[in-house]
Amino acid sequence: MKKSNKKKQEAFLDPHEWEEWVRQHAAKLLLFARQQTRSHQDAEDILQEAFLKLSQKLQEGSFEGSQEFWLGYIYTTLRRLAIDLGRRNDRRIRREEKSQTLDESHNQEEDPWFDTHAADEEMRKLLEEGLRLLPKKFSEIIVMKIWGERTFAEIGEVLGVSLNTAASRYRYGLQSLRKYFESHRRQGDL
Amino acid sequence: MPFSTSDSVLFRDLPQEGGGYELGEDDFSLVDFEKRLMQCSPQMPRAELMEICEDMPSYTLADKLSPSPLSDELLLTLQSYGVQAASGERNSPFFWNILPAAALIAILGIITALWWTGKTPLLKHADTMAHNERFTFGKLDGSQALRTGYAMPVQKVINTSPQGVIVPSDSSPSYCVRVDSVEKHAFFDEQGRLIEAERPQVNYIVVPLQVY
Repeated sequence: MKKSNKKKQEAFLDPHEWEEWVRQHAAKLLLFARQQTRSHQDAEDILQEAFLKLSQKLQEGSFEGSQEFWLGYIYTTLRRLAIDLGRRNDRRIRREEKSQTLDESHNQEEDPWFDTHAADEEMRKLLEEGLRLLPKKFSEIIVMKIWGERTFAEIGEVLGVSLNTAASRYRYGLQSLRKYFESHRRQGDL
Repeated sequence: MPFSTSDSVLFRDLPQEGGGYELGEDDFSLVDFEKRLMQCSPQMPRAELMEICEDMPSYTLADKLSPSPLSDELLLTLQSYGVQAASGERNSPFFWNILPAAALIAILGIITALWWTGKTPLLKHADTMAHNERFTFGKLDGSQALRTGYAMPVQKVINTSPQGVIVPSDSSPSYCVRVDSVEKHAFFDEQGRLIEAERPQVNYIVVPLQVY
């Protein structure tokens, strides 16, 4: 019995293939997790849990579909875990919201959403701020589309909305974000 | 993180996916904006988190982990003293479901036992012993022994060994440590003779894997 389990595990999950896949997608998935949650710690928690769920499914052989479906599964799982976490820890999150106001600047400096070396520092700060301020239904599509490189059809599937809804939300969200940038440019921030 | 697509996402996908939507002047300005956003690469997770996530295929699922049974030699030794070890229950799925709670109890048990080690055994009334039916007495006259009283068991940890990372049913990966200990019971029979029995125990301590 044990031997057959081991064979099954090897057949469904190659450690090297997994490692490579995790490295390739970890950054974009963490960004999505951050956009979905209220704190950096929560984002790391749900990312770890989502990876674990996928890894378990693959080890058990209960995941249906090839590797190209892994990403869709992780996005859906991250979103569901973030919703569950929000519901479960409502009181804790309210406390965090209170302290977040005080710690916001500190957190942004310590746990930036974007790579500080690659991006212009002012641009990075504005982008993070803009994504945080944008209603979630717009920001999640922007994150999945631009940095997650998902198609509108795939995004629609994860969010449970039509392709057209996903596309129009993306456009509206992008316009709002640009307006936010423009207002700061006028103020001389950019 | 470099992006392989040189074309703007909006420019590429909206006309096809947006149901025949035609691009206007505003869209072309959005395309430029999009390109600027693409230049920002998302931050990689911390090295510790990456290591945990990359190693996940090596984790053992709790329902596939079976603890080492007591060795035949040890069982024979126990039986020669008239003690029969409890069997089988650790392989059930229920055991693994209560594993985290059991671990806490085990820790408390070990702490209590260590506290008691070296102290004079406390005598208690025999009725309480009736609930402790993990082993039975064969050669010894258990009924006689139970009638008078027994001492609180004294427990001594003899070995600890790491079992690697397991994933209990609540899906949080945890380190598992096997703790081998010996529980010593002392009884007095009606003649006032001291009867001692030792019971080897295996407990598993589960410590949630922390990434912070």
